[in-house]
Amino acid sequence: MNPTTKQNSVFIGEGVSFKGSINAPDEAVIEGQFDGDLTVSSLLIGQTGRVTGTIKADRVDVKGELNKDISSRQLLIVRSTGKVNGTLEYGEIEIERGGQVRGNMSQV
Amino acid sequence: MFNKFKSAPNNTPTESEEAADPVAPEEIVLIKEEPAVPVAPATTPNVTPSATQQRGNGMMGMLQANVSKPSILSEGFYFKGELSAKGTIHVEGSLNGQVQVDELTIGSRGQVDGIVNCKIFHIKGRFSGTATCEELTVTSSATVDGHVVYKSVSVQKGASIKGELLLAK
Repeated sequence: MNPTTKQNSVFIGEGVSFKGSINAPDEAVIEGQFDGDLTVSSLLIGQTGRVTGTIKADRVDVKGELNKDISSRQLLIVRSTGKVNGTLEYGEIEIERGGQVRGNMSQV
Repeated sequence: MFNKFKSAPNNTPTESEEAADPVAPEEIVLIKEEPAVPVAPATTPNVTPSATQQRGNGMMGMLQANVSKPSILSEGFYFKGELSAKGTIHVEGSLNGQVQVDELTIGSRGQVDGIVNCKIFHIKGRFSGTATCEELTVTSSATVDGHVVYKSVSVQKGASIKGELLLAK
């Protein structure tokens, strides 16, 4: 399915930079740059994506960069190309070899 | 098969002592002492198949052991203090203190509390304290609490990590 036409979801494409806050009941796919607050059920950061801010999600999948305060209530996956900096709160975590994680971690 | 049997012990005399076979070592000695024919045929028909097989396993074991001879802190063993070694340490018991080693593995029942300095760090059990390593592997059964400085990390789903992960440059 084309992610741009999914209901309750948001897609920020490569080259797009967004500042502000987003509240999406379903999914957020970020290939561009995002700055701000993000509350979403499922967050997917593509290889070119960069997210900075306060993130609240159930599931987070990071192939790009994720900074600042992150709360992933269920599962946080850092792929081999992923970089995560900041304060991390997670239910379950998985880091692929090569993934970079810097910060304070705690389990909810 | 016969040649193999005779040449193996001559090439690796030390290995025969380590081969965990209670019967084989005696026969090897016999053959080594007198390569004459009478003794060898007597022993070979019954023993050769299993003996060569086990010797093969023993050789593999030796090769692996030479690559990384792990020192094992087994279950129920409690160690407190400073530990420094080259090579591998496998902890199934409890270790409390300062550890400096090439490779440290905390088994699923192992527990390490303290300061760890190593190259390769496998955590299957519990770790708390401060660790500096190059390659960190945290498996799903692991619990990590503390500061870990690493160069490369992989964490399996299900692992519990509390504290700080820092990337060394």
